Amino acid sequence: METWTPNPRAKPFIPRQQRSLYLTWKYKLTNKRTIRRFCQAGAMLFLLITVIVNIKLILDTRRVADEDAAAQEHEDPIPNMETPRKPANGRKVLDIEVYSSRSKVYVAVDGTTVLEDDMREQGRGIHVIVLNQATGHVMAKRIFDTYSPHEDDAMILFLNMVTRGRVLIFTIKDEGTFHLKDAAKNLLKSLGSQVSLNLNWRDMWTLVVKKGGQVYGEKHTKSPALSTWGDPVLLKTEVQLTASEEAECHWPDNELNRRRKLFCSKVEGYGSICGCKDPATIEFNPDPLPNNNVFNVPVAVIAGNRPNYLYRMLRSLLSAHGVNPQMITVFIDGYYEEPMDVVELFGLKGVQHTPISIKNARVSQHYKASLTATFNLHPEANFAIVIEEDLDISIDFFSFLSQTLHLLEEDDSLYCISAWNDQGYEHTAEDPALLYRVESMPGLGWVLKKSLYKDELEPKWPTPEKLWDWDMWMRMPEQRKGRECVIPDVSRSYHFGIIGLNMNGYFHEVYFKKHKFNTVPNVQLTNVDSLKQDAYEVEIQNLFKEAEVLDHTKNPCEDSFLPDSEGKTYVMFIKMETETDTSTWTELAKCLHVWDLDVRGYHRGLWRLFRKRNHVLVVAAPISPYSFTVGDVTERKT
Amino acid sequence: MPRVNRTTVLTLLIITSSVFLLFQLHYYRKYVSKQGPYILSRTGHLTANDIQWVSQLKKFLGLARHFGLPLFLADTAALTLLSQDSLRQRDRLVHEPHCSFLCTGRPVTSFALHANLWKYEPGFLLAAKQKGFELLELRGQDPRLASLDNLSGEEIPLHFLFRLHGHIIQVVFLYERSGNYLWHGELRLKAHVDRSFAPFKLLDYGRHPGSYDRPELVLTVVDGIDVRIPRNISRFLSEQRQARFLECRYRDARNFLQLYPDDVSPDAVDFRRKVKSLLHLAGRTLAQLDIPFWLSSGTCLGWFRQCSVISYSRDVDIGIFIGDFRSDIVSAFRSAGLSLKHKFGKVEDSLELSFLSEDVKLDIFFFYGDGDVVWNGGTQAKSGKKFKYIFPRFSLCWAELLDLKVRVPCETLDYVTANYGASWSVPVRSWDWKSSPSNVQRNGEWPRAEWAELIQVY
Repeated sequence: METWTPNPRAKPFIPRQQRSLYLTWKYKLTNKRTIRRFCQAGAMLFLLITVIVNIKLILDTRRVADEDAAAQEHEDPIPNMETPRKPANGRKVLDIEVYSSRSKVYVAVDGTTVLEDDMREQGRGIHVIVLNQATGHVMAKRIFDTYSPHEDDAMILFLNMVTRGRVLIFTIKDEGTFHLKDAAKNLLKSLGSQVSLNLNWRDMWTLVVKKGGQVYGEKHTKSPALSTWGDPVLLKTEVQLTASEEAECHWPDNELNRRRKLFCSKVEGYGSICGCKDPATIEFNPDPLPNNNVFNVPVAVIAGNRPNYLYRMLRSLLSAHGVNPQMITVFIDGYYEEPMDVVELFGLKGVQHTPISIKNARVSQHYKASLTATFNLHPEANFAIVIEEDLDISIDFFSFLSQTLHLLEEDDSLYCISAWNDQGYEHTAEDPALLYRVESMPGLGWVLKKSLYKDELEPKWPTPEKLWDWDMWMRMPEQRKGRECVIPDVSRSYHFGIIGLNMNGYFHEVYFKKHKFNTVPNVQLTNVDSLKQDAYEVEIQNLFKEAEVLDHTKNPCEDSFLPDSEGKTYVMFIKMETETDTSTWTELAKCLHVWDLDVRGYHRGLWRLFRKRNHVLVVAAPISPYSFTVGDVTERKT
Repeated sequence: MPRVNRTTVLTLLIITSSVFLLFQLHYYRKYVSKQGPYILSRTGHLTANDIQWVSQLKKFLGLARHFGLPLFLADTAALTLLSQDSLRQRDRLVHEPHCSFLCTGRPVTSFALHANLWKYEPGFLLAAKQKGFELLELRGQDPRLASLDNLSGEEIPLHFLFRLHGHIIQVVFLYERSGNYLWHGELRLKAHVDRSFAPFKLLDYGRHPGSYDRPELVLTVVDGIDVRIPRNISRFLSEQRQARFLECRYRDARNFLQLYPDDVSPDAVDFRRKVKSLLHLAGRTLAQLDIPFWLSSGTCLGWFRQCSVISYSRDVDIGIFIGDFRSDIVSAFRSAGLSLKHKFGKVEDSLELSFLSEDVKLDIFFFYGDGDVVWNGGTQAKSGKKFKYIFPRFSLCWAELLDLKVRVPCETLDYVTANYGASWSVPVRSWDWKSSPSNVQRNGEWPRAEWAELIQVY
């Protein structure tokens, strides 16, 4: 091919571009070198893709791993705190130690101390512990101060409510027999006690029995003389555990009974709620109220460690017409289990509060925390209803509040609506439809306005080191600022608490037991708007116009001080020179058997109450502005 | 025969790499695409998956309606599509069936629920289970009980995740808080919870707690389903992007107040009341101007350290990024009833405004970015000296102070430490703003000629 001769038969020259693709490829492929090149390029391409895919894979895997890590991030760092329960089938026998002495009692079950009380001047009386006969768990712990009156009745009530078959442990600290009457002693005897009838002043005593069954042990030492105590007693005994099936009831399986079952497996002393046959209901479904203005008002229940009180209170609260259980929150002062069990039994919300400070200040701090939390939990609420755990709630409690709530909004001279009339005793209260204005805040079931709490009370609430009663503080002029509360003549709450910080059996008997409590449903309150500041003065003037002045020559303490009429209005005057001159009122209050410990329940030096079914206006002269107006009236009449 | 060798090597390489590649592709598909089965969405035509999904959603929302639970659509992807396509939606209403918005290509759809409308309703959950939904219930501490008081209640529901055929419906519980805002909790998995229940990273809500203004809702039809959505979608979405909420560290605050009890003298009580009303006023005024601000200096320290106001601090300090400056700030505050006390610096440098309400001062510091730090300026009126306070960069979070929803730097500890040094937890009563802060620097002086302009004291 050194020389080139054109070939005439050669194909005409076709430009490369015009060559068909097929031919191009054919040509290329026939060239070995090209093939090799091509393969090399292909391999390179493959390698490149591999590398890219690898990188992508690594990235994606990392992303997925990140997601896993993110999921991990969502994890709760707190480990599961629940400790595994000890297998219950391990032992069938419980070792029980019970100690009774003047200054100390303790109970140990299988070496675990379940009760120890060696505090001075506390825990006097009979301590009772109830154990579950199948598990040995403590189901109830109670102290009955049977040195004081009526506590033995409470003990009888409690013991009767304990389910048959439970293990009961009794021990006395200091003194437990002074007011232990025969009824209680006989009950103890019927439980199996050998010595209960002979229990005497300052004897020491311990007893372990199964209710309705065998006696596991009893020990008793007599007090040698009035001024000395019996020797300390230590009782050691064994209790045979029974099979768990025997200790349980078989209720139909539903939401309510699941709550019931949980409750009844933990605690004792609530009677028929845990009965196997026809147990008491825990769902009440009271009638709703038409036009309920308080349906969305939060209800704060202030509670301590008095679970049986709380139980009674919640039953009455949940039975009141127009109640909205969604809005109820129970605030428990301390991390006590049993009150929480009660709250959960009724399916309500419970909040526990770490106690701050002591005595009155502790109560006061608990109130503050509870009120703050109530308004935090319900930011949309303008009011809160505050109820203590030792109150019965009237069936028309919410109806009463629903009819009066607007007063708080419309009248700035009011700062609370309370369900409680300090002077409303059986013999001094009459008309469930009647309302008063009073200058002293009664509490005991009341409505608090959010703005009052947030703007005035909360910022300056007494600090923990101030041992003040919150209610006394609220009544102080700096807080009250001349404002008043609306109360009913017949109270819508009933104070049943006997044990409490400022409470004992005697005190309760004198001041609270005879308090009138409304049991009539759907009371239509009369002329609610006349409770507004100006209208109320008109109302009172009208009362005075029709009132007759009583004969002041007679003894006001005598029943004959009032004529034997019915439904009339009378006026009487008492001497009161200054705000602090309260001796005349106190004397009158004493003989009328109304609240006499301080001056309560008045409106501008005027008390309104009923005597012998007549409305009596007690005017403090000359301090009350009504003493003059009435003076004119009196003159005209005489 | 080097040539033959080369070819063989090449061939081998190609084969191995192809095998490898095929394996990787297979693995990739299997492992990675598990997370997103809805690759073919928004393409116009519906896949079988989409149809199934829409009917599931319909079923679920029907259940919620039946049990009186007014859920609203809070899904960011779906809402984004809705806000873009609000016009096209009308046209699409005629076509059946379709899934233009709810089939977002994501395996998660989020709804929100006002928690006060939730009554523990086993019926709803049971019914959902019967329809085949698996449920993951996430509960947590009730933040409304978190306060300086030590309270504990039962855990409240925070998030419900319903799963059906690999698709998740997230229901976020929005709780009303006392600062007049809505709050949702963090999604935290407890130890025993199935970690593969949902692609947790893809959830719109739950990485952090969040707070929202109460959105106004409208009922509309989306992809043939009746559903509530926020009326102002773009506003809701922009809130969603910066909704992170910081709870005050009440436990530490309690400890602090144990050591240094709060001043409860009438003066201190009165001061706190004034600060509260001033802060509320500032919040309202700046919200009207749409200017984000955060608690700065002493006010921030008060929130961080004691969840309250430092009673001896005597003023309220807030920060604003200079980019958000608007010239009508002064007039807005004036018409809100405050008087301008002084104005230092200029928009380009060290701007600072001070207003007075009763006897409490509101200091507004403007913050300037500079590399990886931000700074604000200070000016001494009598000498014209300039100072500079330097902070590490931060993002903004929501928090609550004195019943008000306010912003604070998310990296609060860094912010406070920069300003007050490591011993910020010890109260210092005598404070000199020119020398005490640990991040203060001299920054020269204002030229005397410009004093009249740059140092205005009223």
